[in-house]
Amino acid sequence: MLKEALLAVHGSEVQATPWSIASRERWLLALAAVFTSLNWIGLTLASKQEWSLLWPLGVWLVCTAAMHSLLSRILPHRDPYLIPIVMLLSGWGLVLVARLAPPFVTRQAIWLALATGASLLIAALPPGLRVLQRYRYTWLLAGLTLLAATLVFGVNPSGNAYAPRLWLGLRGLIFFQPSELLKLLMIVFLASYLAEKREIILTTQTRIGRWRLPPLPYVAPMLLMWGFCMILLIWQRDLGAASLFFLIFLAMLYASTGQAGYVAAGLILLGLAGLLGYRLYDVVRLRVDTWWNPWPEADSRAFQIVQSLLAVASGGIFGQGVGQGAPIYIPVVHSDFVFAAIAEEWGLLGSLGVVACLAILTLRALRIAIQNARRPFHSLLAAGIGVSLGAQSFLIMAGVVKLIPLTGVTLPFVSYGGSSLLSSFVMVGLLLRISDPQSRFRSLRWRTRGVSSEPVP
Amino acid sequence: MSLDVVLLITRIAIALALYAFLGVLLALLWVDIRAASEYSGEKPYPQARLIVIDCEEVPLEPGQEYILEPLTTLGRGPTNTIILPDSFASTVHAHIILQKGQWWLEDRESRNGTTINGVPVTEPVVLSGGDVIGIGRVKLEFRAE
Repeated sequence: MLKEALLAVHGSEVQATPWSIASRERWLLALAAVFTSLNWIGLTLASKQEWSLLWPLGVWLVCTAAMHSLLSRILPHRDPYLIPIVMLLSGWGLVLVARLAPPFVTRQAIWLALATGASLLIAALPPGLRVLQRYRYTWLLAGLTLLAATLVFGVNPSGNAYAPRLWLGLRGLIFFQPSELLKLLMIVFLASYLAEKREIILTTQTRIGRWRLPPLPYVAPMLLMWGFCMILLIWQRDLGAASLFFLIFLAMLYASTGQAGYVAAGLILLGLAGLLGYRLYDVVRLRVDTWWNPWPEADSRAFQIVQSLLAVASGGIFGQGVGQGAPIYIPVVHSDFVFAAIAEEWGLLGSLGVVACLAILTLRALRIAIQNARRPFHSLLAAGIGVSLGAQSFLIMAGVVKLIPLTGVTLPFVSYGGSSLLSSFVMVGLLLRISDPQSRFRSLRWRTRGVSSEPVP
Repeated sequence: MSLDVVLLITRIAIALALYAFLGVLLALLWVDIRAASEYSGEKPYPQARLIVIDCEEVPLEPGQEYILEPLTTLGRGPTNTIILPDSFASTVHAHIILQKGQWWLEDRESRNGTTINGVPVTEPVVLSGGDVIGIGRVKLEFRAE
């Protein structure tokens, strides 16, 4: 009786509404499957392709079914909205790769399967995530080493000798972008560091006159590690990743300390860095100039952004229809400019759908962070992941429509690119794991032996 | 049917599917928010109090009130929800738990036993307003709201 009462008191987080988590997820996934299948049918009809080219849809359906059924066993109390949103976007992304860069669709389908597997593996980790928390320096240094390796061995899969070499190649078959992995590892590092040092950073403050400064001995290791990341990224001229890292850093600092002053100072620094970059680096100058006024150079330096704007304009409200527009005139449309292709072929309706999906995903991540407020590491990790996905989506979507200067990052889940897909799915795996703090996955091996590391409830 | 018509129908179906997805998603989020706001608006469980009515030489004040929690323990030990500094009370003497809207009193195998309206408690009993609980030399009256 006592035990029942304890359950009634502490298990008060039970769903107050009649629909179970699994059935919500199933309904949403069914709608996402209808949407994705219709897109494939439309694409096949419009481009008069063979029906056998529908096989990536099969891969997507298998990935979706695997996600749903395995997660129902591993994490029965997970957030039910993450997987439908993510699968809808990645299915859309697969359609877009088949539409815009047909030779890459095999590669993207394989990456989707790998990313699904990685996400499930992460979701099956023990709920404490202690491996990530404890070895934060090791993880970050490993990521930094990989990134530093690109300085020496880096390649660009497009073969362009002047493009930034941000990838590590394996025999020219697989290309991996370490900055994507480093982004994830830096979020883990910052979450772990700030969760541990938050109190001491807040309570001991150095004063210089009227200015309150954070205590240097406690923030120095964090600034040092973060500085390494920034230096390497700027050295590589990977502006998108550098600005994203900066935004993530500011957001996590704010989330852990609640001091808006740090954010203001950071944004001023970002502005100064932008001014300095404009003077020193051609890339920055190019991006800012083509943002400010692309029209005089529409056929040369600003060709890409102008084509993107024309694509968005020709889409109108309802779009040209899948496979019926002409977005391939935009250079690298399948990766950075994928949002322009959506705007052209699915119109304003489709673009707003993408924005809504990514906004809800970010909100769910922040909600998971709030729900885990008692576990600072997990809370900060969820907040960092949410800000990372949200900021990355904003940077590229706003860049493509010329709202802000263009920064070359991918649109999470939608753009072509294996490293981006993999790291985004791993982030979602972590979010799912954090959203269900109670469940613990017991592997088959333990079960058949009848030995459990846990006392049986 | 010409290809153009089929393509137009596909496009409309695609848009409908996308907005059906978003509509269901937002409806479920709305249901969640409604449920959460109703939950936080009400008190999570019915309220009840214990009032000291008689305490002989025990250092308590007659009339002193304790708000009951869903799991309330009574006894001499310092970790109890309601601490009774009475040498006749056991360290953890009894507990009161809320189950399905009812408050249940259960003796925790105490040395001197627990009484309800003078009758020893041998198995869990449901409390009702005005019941008098006896623990050691202390008498407490139960009042539900």
